[in-house]
Amino acid sequence: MQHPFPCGRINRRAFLADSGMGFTGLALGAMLHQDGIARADEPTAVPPLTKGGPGGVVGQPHDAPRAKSVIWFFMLGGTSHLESFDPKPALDQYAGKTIDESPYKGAVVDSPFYRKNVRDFAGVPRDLMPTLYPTQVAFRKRGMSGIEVSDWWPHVGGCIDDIAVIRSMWTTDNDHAAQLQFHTGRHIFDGFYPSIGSWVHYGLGSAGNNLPQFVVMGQPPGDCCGGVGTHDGSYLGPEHSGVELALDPAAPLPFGTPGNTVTVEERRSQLDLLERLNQLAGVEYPADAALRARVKAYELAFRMQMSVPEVVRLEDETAETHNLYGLNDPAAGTVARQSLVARRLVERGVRFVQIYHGGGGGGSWDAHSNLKDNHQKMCAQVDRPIAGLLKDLQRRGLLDETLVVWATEFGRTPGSERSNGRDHHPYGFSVWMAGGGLKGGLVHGATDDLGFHAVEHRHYVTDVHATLLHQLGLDPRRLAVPGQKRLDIDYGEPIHEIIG
Amino acid sequence: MKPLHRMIVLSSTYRMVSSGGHAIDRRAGGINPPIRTTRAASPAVEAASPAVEIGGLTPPARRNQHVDPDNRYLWRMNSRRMEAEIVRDSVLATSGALDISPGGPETPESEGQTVFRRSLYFRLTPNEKMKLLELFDAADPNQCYRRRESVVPQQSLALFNSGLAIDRARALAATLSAEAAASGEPGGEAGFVVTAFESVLSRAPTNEERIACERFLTEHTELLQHPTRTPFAGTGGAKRPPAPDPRQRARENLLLVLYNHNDFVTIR
Repeated sequence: MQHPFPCGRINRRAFLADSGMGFTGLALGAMLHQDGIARADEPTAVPPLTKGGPGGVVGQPHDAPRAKSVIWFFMLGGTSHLESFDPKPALDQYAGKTIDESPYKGAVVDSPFYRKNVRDFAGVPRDLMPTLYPTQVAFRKRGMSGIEVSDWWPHVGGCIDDIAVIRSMWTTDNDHAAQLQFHTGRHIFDGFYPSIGSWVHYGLGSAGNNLPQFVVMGQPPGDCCGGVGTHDGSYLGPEHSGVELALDPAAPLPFGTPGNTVTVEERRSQLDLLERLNQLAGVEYPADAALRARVKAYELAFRMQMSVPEVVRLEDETAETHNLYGLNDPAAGTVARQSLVARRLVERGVRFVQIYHGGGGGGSWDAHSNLKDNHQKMCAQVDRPIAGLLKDLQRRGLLDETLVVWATEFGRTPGSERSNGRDHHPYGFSVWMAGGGLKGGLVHGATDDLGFHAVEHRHYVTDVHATLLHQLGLDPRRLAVPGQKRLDIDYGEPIHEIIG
Repeated sequence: MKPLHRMIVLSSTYRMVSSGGHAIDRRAGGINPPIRTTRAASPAVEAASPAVEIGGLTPPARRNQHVDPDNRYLWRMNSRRMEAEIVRDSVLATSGALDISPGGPETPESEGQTVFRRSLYFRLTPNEKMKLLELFDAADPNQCYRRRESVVPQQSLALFNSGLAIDRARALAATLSAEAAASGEPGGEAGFVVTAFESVLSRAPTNEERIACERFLTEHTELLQHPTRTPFAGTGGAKRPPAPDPRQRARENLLLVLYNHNDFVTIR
């Protein structure tokens, strides 16, 4: 047998890789040094951050944070703004008439915003749905603020004084890949970019505990529409991608236990050997992101398998809490459990919890027909759990440091789709945000009288990203990696009017 | 197509190593002289030479890493992770269990841990996917998009905890120990480590790797004899019990570690 390094000496490559910066920190640490990029993760010797200057404190945000965590609800398929948070009496008044027959002729197709930015997936513009369709549900004023919310959202409506509603969102994809766009800021034609959760993970890094810091629950978008790209790290590296979590306490993670023929001690010893072997074999690949991620993934997997079952064990919670979220409600049960797990995760320091609702294919909110039945059913699945979460965070004093986002990829057309439903509508739609130092009981921005165009305080999707990054104390313009150009539109602008 | 494929795979660009831009032949036990790419590369990107190495990269490779971190100019080979089906099939093939018989009706995905046919033959529908394959980014049965190469902790759990991986590691340990005994050259723990590396990773261990593994086998055998130990919860998926002999059980556990080695799922 060949014996190149007698006396058990290690070779020079192994020595240099082992010493100094250590294995996982090697390539990245070097890149961070030379580019002065602010990013929190390994405790490398990055110089302390001075405001406006380069460098970065590990695990520290750029500015004083108002929020520590984000819980991000995303409705897949496109929730109608016209039947949720943006009432339009004109739709009832001119129901059955075409837009041209209404007094708003011209306001729609002559608007500079009409098709200005929209890039259609099929290459041909989607038909304008000209026949106005009446609002399918009643609205009422709610809370001290008197903000109108539809009757399909009674519980969220009850929390409206804690919520900032943004009625003036717009996006550029007229198909469900807008789901990807809402998370990455880019049209799917541009390709795949880091998702907002992965930017937060990249910016704030791990709090060093036993849980993944970016957790995803619910079924993600179908592959048509971005797939797991909506929680992917893209060029930030796979270690910043969201970790999918299931609700079953016996198996919250697939393959979560080797079974009782294996002991914790022998597994620990195996992991130590594995890390050593990967380290030895990885000397030649100091810049291999996948290897770095895999080394981390094994450590995290072991810690996760020990601590995750406890997080999803909801028997620890009182019956009153179960009831608050609607855990025993057959319709709301799943989202209720996800929402309660989300609270337990942020209590344990997790940075970003992303909950998909209506995943698979284009998304279940996609009410081209039977909008009334569809939205009634979908709202009943999420309304009580989301409101329960807001109330629960509030009473535990967590709402101040937890930013809750409710969003969807686009709204739905004021006109009917030649039936009892509405088509996709990227020109103007609603999302809301609550907690994390934002103002509540507030409506920001507006659509026109038909709910067609966002006309006042228009916001592209990355403004939502910028707002939550701002509250987390991160400056999007200083979140960057060498060699990856970002555009102005990627950064967005914080929505200052809703910041408390 | 065949001449084209031949031209591609025989090109010096295609044959470069993923670490530093020079061609490598591990069978010869060393690194070959640098091969400059015939493709017109960016003038800023140099062919790497293995002359002086710092931190695992040659100076030209370090410069290339800085100029072209994404390897757009193909100054090195890109590392790839095995596709889902190949991960599962390789676990079975290396442990001598893969059933390569072609054709026949599809096999229920629920039997993926116990039926050792090639992964290709298991049912894959929107609602019926084998979890093991899904975790390693198996193809979406509905659509024709590029597969992703994710690295997530659940993959680590799958390769460490699945009944398939545990059972195959235990079975392979039994085979290798029996073969060593039958050959009349037992070779001890050092011999086992070499055979284990060759069986699972298709290469011999380096000296350092061999030493680390031998130490593991010794210490792990002691650990397994220690009376107070904490079993994991649940039943798990493994069907084959661990070997009663601590020394053999340590070998099983070493093989499971090798199935989890980065090099097992990575194509360089």
